[in-house]
Amino acid sequence: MVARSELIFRWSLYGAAGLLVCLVQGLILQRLDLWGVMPFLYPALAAMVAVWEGAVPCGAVYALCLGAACDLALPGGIPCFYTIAFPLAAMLAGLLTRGWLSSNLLSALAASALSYLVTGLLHAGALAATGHGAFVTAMTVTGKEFLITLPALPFLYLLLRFLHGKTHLYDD
Amino acid sequence: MKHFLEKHGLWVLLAIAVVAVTLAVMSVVSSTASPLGNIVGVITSPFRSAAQSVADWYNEKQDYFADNKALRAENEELKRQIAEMKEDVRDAQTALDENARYREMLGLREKHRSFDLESARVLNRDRSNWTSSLTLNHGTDYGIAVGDCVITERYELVGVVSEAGYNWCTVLTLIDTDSSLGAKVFRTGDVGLAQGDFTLMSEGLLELSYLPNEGSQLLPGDLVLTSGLGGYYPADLTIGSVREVRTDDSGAASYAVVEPAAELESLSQVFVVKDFTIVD
Repeated sequence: MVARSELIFRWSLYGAAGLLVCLVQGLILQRLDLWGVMPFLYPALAAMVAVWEGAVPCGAVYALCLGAACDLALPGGIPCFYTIAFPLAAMLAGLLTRGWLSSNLLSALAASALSYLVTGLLHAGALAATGHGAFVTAMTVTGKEFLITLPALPFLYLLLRFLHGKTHLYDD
Repeated sequence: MKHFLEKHGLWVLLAIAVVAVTLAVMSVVSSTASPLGNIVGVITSPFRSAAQSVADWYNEKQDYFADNKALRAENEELKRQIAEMKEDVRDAQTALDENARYREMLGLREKHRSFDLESARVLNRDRSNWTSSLTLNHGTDYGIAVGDCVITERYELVGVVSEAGYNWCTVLTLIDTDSSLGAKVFRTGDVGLAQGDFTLMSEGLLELSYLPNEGSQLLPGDLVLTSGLGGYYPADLTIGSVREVRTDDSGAASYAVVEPAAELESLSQVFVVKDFTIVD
């Protein structure tokens, strides 16, 4: 049974990792313009934590908190968009890796791709619902967003793997 | 703790989801940013300001080494345009003086436009790939409110304030999909709706729709201004110019693709119209 202090320590570290990702995204990545889009790390962060810590409930709760933070800090038409999108993406990503893949870089990248796809589909749905349907453009932006962010994902994976190793020292 | 989470994890998840959605919806019904959103904005504001200062310094150094030849050519072209505009100004002044005499003869009120402007610096552009927005360094502390329109020093429309915190505000630019405002074509007088489109947004353009059936009479280069209908935004602010006229998928209606006059990618200073008075 995991001690409460260990749980607090674990999720504090993941929270700090999330804050680091926010700083990198806000201060560096969002000022880049490659192929008409900017790198966007948050969907990958939500998916990778779910891969390492399980989809339900920990991964989904983390993704939900991340989504709420994104909804507060990022502009957007729908107020709780990321609060819904990230937990959904995290749960699907966690189920994918538990069912078919192990927790390695490839599964982290696959889970991230799924997360970007889910977020992109929800964006496309939101655009259609508001009368601005542009499915092809939305999927193109989603694809570009994932490809542009892909070079940064191995670093994110290594960071989370390091944290997972530090916080699961005594697991069987 | 782990046993508790395993047993009641889904209820915890549901409870947190309800709280998060409630907080998010609060931001919709509030005329200013929600309390948590405001706090996040205030905390991140100095970081954004610092990062933008570094970016501005770098851009300034980069521009310093720009092609000298291209600058000289641009300078000559601008001088030529200024000379043409001076002649137009002289003609316009004659027309204005004549107009003033007629108004006096007919006993009409003098035309008058006054704006209460607040200068603001751009801290951030486009924090997401799905919106087109700016973050400014002033908010409710300077009297800025949601719905205020934002312009450049040349009275070119930039966008509308969508969220206002204590010392920050978010501006949705006119090419954003959530942006729509009444517009008119200066040459023909046609009235339409200038709104963002996601496909055009990626190209930095917007569309002018709901044109009269004779929309194909528009020509590339036609000036598009705000109509001021409804009184929400001042009239005669420059939106942009027509690039081309297209027919929609149904083939029944036409719309114009408009190129914004404001250079949204390079804005560093803008003006928020807090209040305005226009007498025609």
